[in-house]
Amino acid sequence: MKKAGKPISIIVILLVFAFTYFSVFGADNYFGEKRIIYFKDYSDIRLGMDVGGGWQTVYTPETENGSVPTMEELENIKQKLMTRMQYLRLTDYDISINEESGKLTVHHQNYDNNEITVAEAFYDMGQTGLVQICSGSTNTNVLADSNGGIKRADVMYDAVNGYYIRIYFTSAGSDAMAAGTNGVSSLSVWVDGQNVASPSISEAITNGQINITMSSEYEAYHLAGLMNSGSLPYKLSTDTYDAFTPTMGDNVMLTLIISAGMLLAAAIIVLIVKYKLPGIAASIALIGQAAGLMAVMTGFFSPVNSITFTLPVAAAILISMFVGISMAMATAANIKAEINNDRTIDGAVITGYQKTLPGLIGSTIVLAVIAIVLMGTFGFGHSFTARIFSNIFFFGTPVEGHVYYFAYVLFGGVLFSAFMNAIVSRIILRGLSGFKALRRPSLYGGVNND
Amino acid sequence: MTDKKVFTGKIKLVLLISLAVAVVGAVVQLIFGFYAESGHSSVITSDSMGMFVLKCLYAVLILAILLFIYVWIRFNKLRWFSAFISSAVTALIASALLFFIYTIIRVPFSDFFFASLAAVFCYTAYNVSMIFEKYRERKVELVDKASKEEIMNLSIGQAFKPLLISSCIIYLAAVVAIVVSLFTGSFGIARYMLPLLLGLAVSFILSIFVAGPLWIKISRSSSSSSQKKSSGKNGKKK
Repeated sequence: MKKAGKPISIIVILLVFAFTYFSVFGADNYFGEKRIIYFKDYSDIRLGMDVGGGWQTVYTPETENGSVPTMEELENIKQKLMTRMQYLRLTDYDISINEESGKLTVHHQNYDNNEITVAEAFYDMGQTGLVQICSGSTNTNVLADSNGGIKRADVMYDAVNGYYIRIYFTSAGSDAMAAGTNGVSSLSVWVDGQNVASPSISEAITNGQINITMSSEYEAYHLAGLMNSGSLPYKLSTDTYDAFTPTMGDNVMLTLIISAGMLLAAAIIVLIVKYKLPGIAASIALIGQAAGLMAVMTGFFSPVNSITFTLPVAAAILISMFVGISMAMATAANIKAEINNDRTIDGAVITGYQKTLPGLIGSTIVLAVIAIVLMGTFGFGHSFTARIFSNIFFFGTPVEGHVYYFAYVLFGGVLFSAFMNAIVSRIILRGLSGFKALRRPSLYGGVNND
Repeated sequence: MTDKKVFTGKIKLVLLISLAVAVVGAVVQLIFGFYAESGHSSVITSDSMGMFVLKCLYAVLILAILLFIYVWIRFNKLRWFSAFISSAVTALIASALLFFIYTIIRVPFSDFFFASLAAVFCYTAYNVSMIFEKYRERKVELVDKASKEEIMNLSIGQAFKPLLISSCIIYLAAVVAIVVSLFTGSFGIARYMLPLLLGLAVSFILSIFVAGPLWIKISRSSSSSSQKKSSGKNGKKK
């Protein structure tokens, strides 16, 4: 490896601290009233019911004669509600059915959205939700609807159009769209008989898909949820609506933050006291890894969704940090051993990192494989990883549960750990070792010769 | 070269203690039954329990295949099949002990149990892979100078200190979380962090004292059986 210059190591240190700052506090700007988010901050992490509390909603199906729906119908409603909740980014929830009363009780995490209140969102979710795509400006000529013709709808985002929905049609739906849009200049989208969008088209839709720009993020996710779930057999009325405190008790986040701070502080103190200069480089890399974990949880970039933080995620952070600390210690111990074997400082640093590399790569591969398999098996049916592995993993369940988030954070954590320990820490130490004042073997765990 | 079996000589004792924990856990299980949480849980209640178990089995199967391929490629020059078996057995014992820890201290089985199980599995896999990586390095240097057991002892010894210190730091974080939760009123954290902490500690002991020694025992027995076979064939030819 070529010797990294001193300026590069200083730049890398500054970059690590800048990344740490932005991953925690984010960056945004206002253009008039419009807020543009460049990097997300810690407040974008959604909290699960165990650490952040949530809401309880009781739904009652409004049957025609007031009778109690069958268990089959209630199960059908439950599955559709689950899909709709996933599209509202509510991933920590449970739905229980009371067979006697026919009521569905939903416990879910808090729903933070500036566009709509949680009560309005849950009112919308309880609607029958039949989505129809019609030719022209009225709903007389239906080309496809959410119970037939529409295969899937994905929410997309770009800087120019904002949020839009990409709708994929079944083969019958594609044929109907091709025939129904020939010579037509506009379409209309209807939910339970109400017009929600009127996109104009310049030519017939023959490729089996269409993009529709939506007015807001909520509208986009809500409509996609309705399209993917299909319509409910009955409209649901909301009986009660109550908030509840975190299931793990009060002040859970405070407890976890104190614990995480203690972990990082203890690791940095041990690294610096025991290994001195390599310990300082490793500590900066460790701070970078912690920032990386924060970025994984917030999503960091604006269109990337944040995760739902629950106690299993804390376990994933614990394991990721363990991997990072252990790697840093192994590297520093190798450098110390090389120095004590009468190597030059440059030789000891290079060999120290080289000796750690096979173990670092090997353990990263093992943990990444475990995380990917868990994400593929327990992941959200429409997530990126679930799509990639959809041919291998046959469970298309739309559940983005605790195990999925555990694996997701672990995956991000071990990748950041490998990157920070193999590259960032190495560049920093190589650069720092170039300073004359820092070229004493005692600073690397050896004995001073001079 | 040290000939003391500092790490490889404790396998029987560690397995015996593990067995004792398992027996106590099984007795508690028999007396008090399965303690599951009926509260808020997205993973289990969103899927049916049968589907969830099927998913777990499927994940284990896929993981076993992928890790088997990895061990085969990575540790090809060692007795890789024995390495895979010993690692798998160690991870299995650690997972089983976590189950019994949950049973003994009466913590309800919820989503967090499965996350803890995954955490313990990852932690074991990491520790074991570090030990085998060390063995791989040392073997190249000491191939004709030391026995397999001596090299394994040395390898575990070299991996031990960084793993122990790093582990102590995360144990400290977990202990701090438990203690602070008692003062802040977030008792759920203490309830779930304690079995995780114990599970990780048990996993560490197993990784250090069982995985490597077990690999030596399995590879010894497989090599002696293959020697017997070959000598048997030679005998027939004679």
